[in-house]
Amino acid sequence: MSRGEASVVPTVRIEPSGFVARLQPGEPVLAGLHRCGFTVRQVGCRRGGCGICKLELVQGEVTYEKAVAGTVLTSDERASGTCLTCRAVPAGDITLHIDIEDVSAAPTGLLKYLNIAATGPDKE
Amino acid sequence: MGVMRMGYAHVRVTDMAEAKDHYATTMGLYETRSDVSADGNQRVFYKGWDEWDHHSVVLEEGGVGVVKYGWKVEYESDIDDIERKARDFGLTVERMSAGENPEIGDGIRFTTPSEHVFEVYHQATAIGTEVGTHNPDAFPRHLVGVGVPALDHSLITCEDPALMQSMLERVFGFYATERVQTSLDDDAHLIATWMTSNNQIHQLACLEGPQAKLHHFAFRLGDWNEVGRAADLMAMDDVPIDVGPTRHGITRGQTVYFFDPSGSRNEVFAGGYLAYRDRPVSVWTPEQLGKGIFYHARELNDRFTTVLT
Ligand code: FES
Ligand SMILES: [Fe+2]
Repeated sequence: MSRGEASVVPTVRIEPSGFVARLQPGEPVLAGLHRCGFTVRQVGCRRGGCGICKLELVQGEVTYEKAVAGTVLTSDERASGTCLTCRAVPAGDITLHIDIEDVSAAPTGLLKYLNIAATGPDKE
Repeated sequence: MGVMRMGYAHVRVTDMAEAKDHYATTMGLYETRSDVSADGNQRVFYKGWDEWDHHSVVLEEGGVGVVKYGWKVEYESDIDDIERKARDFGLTVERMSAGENPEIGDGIRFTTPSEHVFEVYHQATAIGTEVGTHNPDAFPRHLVGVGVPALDHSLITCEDPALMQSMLERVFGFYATERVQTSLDDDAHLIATWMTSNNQIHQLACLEGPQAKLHHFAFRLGDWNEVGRAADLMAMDDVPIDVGPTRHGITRGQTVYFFDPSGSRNEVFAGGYLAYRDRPVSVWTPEQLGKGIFYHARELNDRFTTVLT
């Protein structure tokens, strides 16, 4: 974290639930959601190969630091805001659409300790 | 006797440096060659410590998924025999010459009804196992990581498993050891089949799904303890584990499914009972399919059928 920019902590807002997770610098979206205690249904290989983890990026930008095959995420998909969450690293704050039934709601039990950095819609 | 084994699996990787770290450092394969393909792609060739032929795994940089499988036959004449049977089956067969695949001899190539590329060959450059043949020790002392001895089998997906089963029977002389089908009725629909040419419980399994896709390819291990130790090493190396350690009801094998750095599923597989041509085929029906695939959890996750490369 020698560069000031790299220490920026991007947030991921989940629509429509309104929950927010704070990622670590350089952390891929899916890994960050898990670390914050959210369970997302669309999880496959976690290594950019299967395309199962694609979600709709509603706002913000992501970058891909590792190679992603064009057959897994096409350039059209990139352009139209599809995000390969296991490989995508937010370039700043982002908003993702995840259907309510495809993501756990507020982390409960022990999971809430994972999520100390996240805020619920009622805490905004 | 025709096909002896799956000699090589040739797969694509998105990042060669990460892939090498996985296959050499975590899995413990021995690199035998690295080059650039005619198409300009970086390639690396590997063998396991207990394999004698030049390579069993080929990584090629660019994209994901399986490029092709090589099948080694016992006699040179088996190649002609399989070529004839493949043509009779209606497949288009082409000849391949020695050196098209480094260190692999003349053979044939065809695309299966599942749209996978198969090569059949007899000759491969012999390197020898890491313990040799003269008063050999039980294993090499300085294995790296999991230290897998050999490639074992693969599971592919296809739109018509029954057609693949009949191709493998008629062209390769394989037989089914286990099947998944919609019911026990004669006209039941075949969902998946596990096939082999010898006493190995399966060399290739075909599961209903999209054409030309890879579900996983597997490395052999000795027993439960080695499977557990492999999972420990995956935790240490941050390899995403898909499922396991557990047992498959089908084949009775002990297993961990995990993903390589390009998202292709790998497996370490131990056990599995001895197969015989005259052993009655085990048949699984959908109400117990969870138990057939993952014997302990008895539940099929989404990923088993959706995550393919
Ligand atoms: S989980 Fe497989 S590509 Fe993201
Ligand atoms: Fe397997």
